[in-house]
Amino acid sequence: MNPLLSLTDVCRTFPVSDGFFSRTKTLHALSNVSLDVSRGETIALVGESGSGKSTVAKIIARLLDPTSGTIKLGDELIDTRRRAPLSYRRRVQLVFQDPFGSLNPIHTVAHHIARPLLRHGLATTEDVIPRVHALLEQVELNPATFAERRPHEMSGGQRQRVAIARALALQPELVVADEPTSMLDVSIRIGVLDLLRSHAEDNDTAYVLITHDLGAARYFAKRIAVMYAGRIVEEGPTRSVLDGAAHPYTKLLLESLPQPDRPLGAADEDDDRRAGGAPVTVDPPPGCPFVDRCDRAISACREAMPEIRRVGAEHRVRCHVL
Amino acid sequence: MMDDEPVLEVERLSVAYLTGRGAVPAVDEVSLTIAPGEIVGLAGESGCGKSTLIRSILRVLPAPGAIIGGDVRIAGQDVLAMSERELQRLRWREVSWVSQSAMSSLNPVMTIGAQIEDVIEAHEGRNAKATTRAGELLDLVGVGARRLSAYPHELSGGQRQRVGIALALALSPRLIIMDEPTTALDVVVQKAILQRVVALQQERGFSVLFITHDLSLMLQLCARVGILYAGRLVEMGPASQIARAPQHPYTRGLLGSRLAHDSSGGSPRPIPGTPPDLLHLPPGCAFAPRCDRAVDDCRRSVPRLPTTAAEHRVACPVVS
Amino acid sequence: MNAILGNRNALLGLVILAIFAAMALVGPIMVGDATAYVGSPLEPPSAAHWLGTNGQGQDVLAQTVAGARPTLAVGFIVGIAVVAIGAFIGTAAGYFGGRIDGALHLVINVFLVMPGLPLMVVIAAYLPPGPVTIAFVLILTGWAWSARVIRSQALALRKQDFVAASIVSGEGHLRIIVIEILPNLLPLVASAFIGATVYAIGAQVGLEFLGLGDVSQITWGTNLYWASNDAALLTGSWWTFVPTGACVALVGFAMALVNHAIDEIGNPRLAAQPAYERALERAGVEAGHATVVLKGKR
Repeated sequence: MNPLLSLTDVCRTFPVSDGFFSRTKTLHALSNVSLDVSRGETIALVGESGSGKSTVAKIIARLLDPTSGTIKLGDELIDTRRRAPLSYRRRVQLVFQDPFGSLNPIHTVAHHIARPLLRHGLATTEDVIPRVHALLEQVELNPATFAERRPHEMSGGQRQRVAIARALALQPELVVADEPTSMLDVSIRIGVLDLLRSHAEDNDTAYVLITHDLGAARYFAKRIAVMYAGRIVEEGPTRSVLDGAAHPYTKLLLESLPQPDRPLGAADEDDDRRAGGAPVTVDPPPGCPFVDRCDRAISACREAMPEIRRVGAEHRVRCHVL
Repeated sequence: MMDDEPVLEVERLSVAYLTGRGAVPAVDEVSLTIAPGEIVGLAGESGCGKSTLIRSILRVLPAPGAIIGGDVRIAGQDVLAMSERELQRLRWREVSWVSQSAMSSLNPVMTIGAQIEDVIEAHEGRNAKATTRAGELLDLVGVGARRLSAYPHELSGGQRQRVGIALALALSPRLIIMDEPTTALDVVVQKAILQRVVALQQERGFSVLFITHDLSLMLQLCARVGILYAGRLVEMGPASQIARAPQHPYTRGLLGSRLAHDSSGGSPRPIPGTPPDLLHLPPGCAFAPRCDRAVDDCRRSVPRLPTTAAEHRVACPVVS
Repeated sequence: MNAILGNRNALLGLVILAIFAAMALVGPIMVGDATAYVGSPLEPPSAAHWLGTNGQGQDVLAQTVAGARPTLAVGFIVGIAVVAIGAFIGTAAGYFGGRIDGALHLVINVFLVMPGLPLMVVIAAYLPPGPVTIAFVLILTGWAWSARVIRSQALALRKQDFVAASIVSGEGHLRIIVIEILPNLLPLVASAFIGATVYAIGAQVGLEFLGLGDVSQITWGTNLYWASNDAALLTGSWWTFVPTGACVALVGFAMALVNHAIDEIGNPRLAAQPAYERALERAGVEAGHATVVLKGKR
């Protein structure tokens, strides 16, 4: 069966110039990203800031166009030079990271949820209110209390639920959630993730969760893709990647997570080297972008970008040294 | 001063924001003592008062915040009675502050070396050794003396935060207050920086008050930790004990709601209910509305940490 | 609106403005014909003529009241026009960005660097004198300022996620500008309107004082023009220009009060200030840079 969404060799560059007289350089935000999302599948895209994971979210949500590469939704090849048609908007929705910015401060909760329904002709002004109330109940907010509230009268968690209700209003086939819990307090994050997960299971909706939190990725997603410097460096079933990480970057990431039962040792030079230097994404040199931080780098790593290799049934890694 | 005199003593400190809608109690009778060479952590979620607390300790909390009760002593000196001139002498020399945005508080048009020298010379007068010392400080925090002439924009976020720590160390204060110093950084960088802090602390013996919302991080870094909820300390004790056997229902909830990246954790559960509204706190325990073990007693009077000398203390009538 | 009415300063400002509005609307009926020669020139204030007479022997009170209507009308019309043009061009530039913004921003900047006052004087002298000319000149030289302010705010709003969320929902450009962005700009638009109106009244009075208006009309500006022509300062007849000057100042003052109230609503920090200051006052503590300590003083 064809995947629901298929990105093939998607690249995105931005011109940067750091002075009037200097040559314009190119920032490679995404390089040759290929990703298939099946119907009803939950996949997490993890990586640190600047890894390109949010750029992927914007490209899938058609807020940003790729510089090259193709996007297919179902069997349809998307023309990325044109504005996204309403049909695409209906099928693919986005939940934003910041629930304080993604709701318009002057509009009520009901307005936010009713608008997509009205815009896509899924409700009329007469019957939209019950639909809004049903959606609020779906995200576990009491309609009587919340429908007429404005964003500033709600907590962060409540706002994020409203933002989720807005995205789910169109019954999309694919939801991209861009760090939906990173701005929320720890104690309410699971509630929001549970909501998304049960929606995915009950409606066979596919989810792409963008996150830097490996715990959230493990909790939510069946499959995980690790991004570094605009590329997917490791991809596979969540357990297989997190319990048997193959790429040196994934391993470093896992080792660096805070572990309450193990006291922090003092730093040595190696720690500083591994932590140092964000990857070069402006006019990058050839080779693997992780090479300067890698403990196992060989000369080949500086010469050519590694190809994607298979290390398990569904588990793929972009690394020369395996 | 005696060697074992606490570097920081906070006694029943209360802080409120005096707004048009009424006084918002942001910190409510918090007491805390930090001994020389100790790393103490405070954790809590948004609105728990952790940032307000440290800004009040340093007396840099802006209007409409006001300290409405309690005492703060740093290295034995009464901070709340100090004039602004005295406060200026106290800051950097006895206590320094690394904020979440230390990286953006660097002056963009000055080299980082010049900024460190400025801090040294502002307190010690013109000083021929200032440049050498600035270089040593950059070496200490892992940036390297060769970056003395670098401008802040030439450094990565992690490097700038290290410069912030170098600034904090410049006058060898007894206490460094760190307010989510690594929240804006990636985990790999975070770990390396905090390891650096641990190494420096072991070498120089200063005390650290570490504020974070990341419980795992705090338990890993600190010897002693406190949990704040709605401006009140609800639990205080050795990190190892709190990690192993948390007592307060809120601490348990926080630990139980963490999402583990490995297969170690059981199934995490959220804390029910909504975060407290400081303007309309219930009488009694602020956590009672979200607590599954609350009894009538909890709703009558505000439970406080017992003033006993016990290491592990809990402000809860049910578990203690 | 309730927030504005609840603010004492704003209320005072609105009351003053209401008095002037009433003066402009019904005042001329109460004071009779302001052009009538009712006494000898430059009579000081008396029971018959409360504010004395001007150099032509006309009643100053009647002239001041009669001058309110044309002056305020031009002020408000210019204020509305300046803000309407500014809001339209500013939001369009800020929302669409890219080349559209580039072109509109260039036009805005060209109008901003044109020296306003000389240009006003030249155009006003060239066109037939009268309120229409004055309004035209003021709109031409004033719109770019409000467009620039509104554009920069619209640019900031454009980057907000709620705009992106509307795009993801499938909303069209016009709807996003009118329903999502513009309402958020209302405090700024209101404040720009007040600024533009104050500027329009001041500049109009100035131009007319210089004799660039229609001097046969009675406005606050021509009142001052005639006072100056009749050597009011040399003869010490203060009553011929002080009443008009006070009116201009009072209108500006009232609008500044309302403007400040709008700022407070848009910026809760300012609104919180009075409660904080009252608490300090009660405790007898002075605010400085360091956090205040109100221990045992409340």
